[in-house]
Amino acid sequence: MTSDHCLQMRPLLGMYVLGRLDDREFVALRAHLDGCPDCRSELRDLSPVAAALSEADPDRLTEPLPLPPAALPDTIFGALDRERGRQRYRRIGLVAAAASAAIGLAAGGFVLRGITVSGPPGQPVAFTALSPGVAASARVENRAWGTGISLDVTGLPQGGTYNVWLQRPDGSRMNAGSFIGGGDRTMSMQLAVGLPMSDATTLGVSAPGDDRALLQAPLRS
Amino acid sequence: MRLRRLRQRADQSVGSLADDTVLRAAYDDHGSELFALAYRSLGDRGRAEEAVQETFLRAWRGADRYDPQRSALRTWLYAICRNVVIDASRARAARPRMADAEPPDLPVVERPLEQLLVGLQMEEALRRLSEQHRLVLVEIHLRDRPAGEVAAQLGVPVGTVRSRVYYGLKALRLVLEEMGWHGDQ
Repeated sequence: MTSDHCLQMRPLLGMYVLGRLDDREFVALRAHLDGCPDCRSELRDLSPVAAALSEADPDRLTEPLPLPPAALPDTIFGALDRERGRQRYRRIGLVAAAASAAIGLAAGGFVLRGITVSGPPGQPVAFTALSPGVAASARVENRAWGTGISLDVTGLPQGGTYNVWLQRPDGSRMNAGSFIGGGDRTMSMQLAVGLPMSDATTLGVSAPGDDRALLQAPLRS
Repeated sequence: MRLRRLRQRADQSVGSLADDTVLRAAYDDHGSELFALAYRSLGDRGRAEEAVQETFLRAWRGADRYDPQRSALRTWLYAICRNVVIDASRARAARPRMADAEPPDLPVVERPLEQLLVGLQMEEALRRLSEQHRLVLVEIHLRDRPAGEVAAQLGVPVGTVRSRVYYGLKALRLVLEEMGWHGDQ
């Protein structure tokens, strides 16, 4: 039962939860808590709040909140449209596959060629390896913030560092990041470049300090 | 009658999360907050944008699993975003780093991600408190100032400051519950 005495004790309870009571106050509160289930329950409610509150950063609290770019909803709902399209396509693909299987049975084993179901986002590019034993595949995607690249590379000597870049029509290059070669192992990475895909003509990989491309692929945009 | 209306409302939001208009409204209501969460967790605008996008894609894919009677939309989106951020941090740890990228000046390396997420949620909850309540909790608990000093600064008796601490904590708990906090479970 919450009494007047409880009401007097509650400010102490708050300070106690924050660990701010002196010994005399603590003894008074403790004596009250021993006989008051209501206040004990209140203590159980507030203690985890105070504990979690310690994780807050007062400086971050006064900083302005970082705002998302105005174009973000377009990017998101654009991606959603593409995903919706893919799902639809996949369904059509399944129906078509079932239909072609049925035709196949009717025609005594003659099966129509399957429909290609679209893969991950972006368009594939065709790499030319300018160094023996090196192979790569990539998908590039035009995004609101630039170009997204999903790259797999095999055959570059293990432990060496390699640069990935996009080349503009004037031959200048924009660095897209770097990675460590994995020898026979395929190294897979996602890269983000702040260059619109339409401004790039070529995707390439080279060793640092050497402009010669080890791998390159033209971009169609 | 009231029950039917409630049920209708619930049905509407369940069915239509797959619908762009509802998802766009969800973005208008919660997008900025989710972005702030992702940005402060990942320390990079581009990655934060990707994380918010992934959050909405997962929300759309999982629309039929969302039950508005069990959790508020914000809570649900927040939980998805939290998982996306954790996945993104793990993926980054496993990936070769771009050589010319800025060194990750992230809070992530300073303290575990879980703690950071709790902190960010607490800050969001603090922002929703009244100025009076927020001030005493920040000054006394986070900035470690004596209640007497804060009372003098505000020109109120120390008993008032202590009361505000108590009611501030209670208000904070309510706000956290509205935000879907389960800190004591």
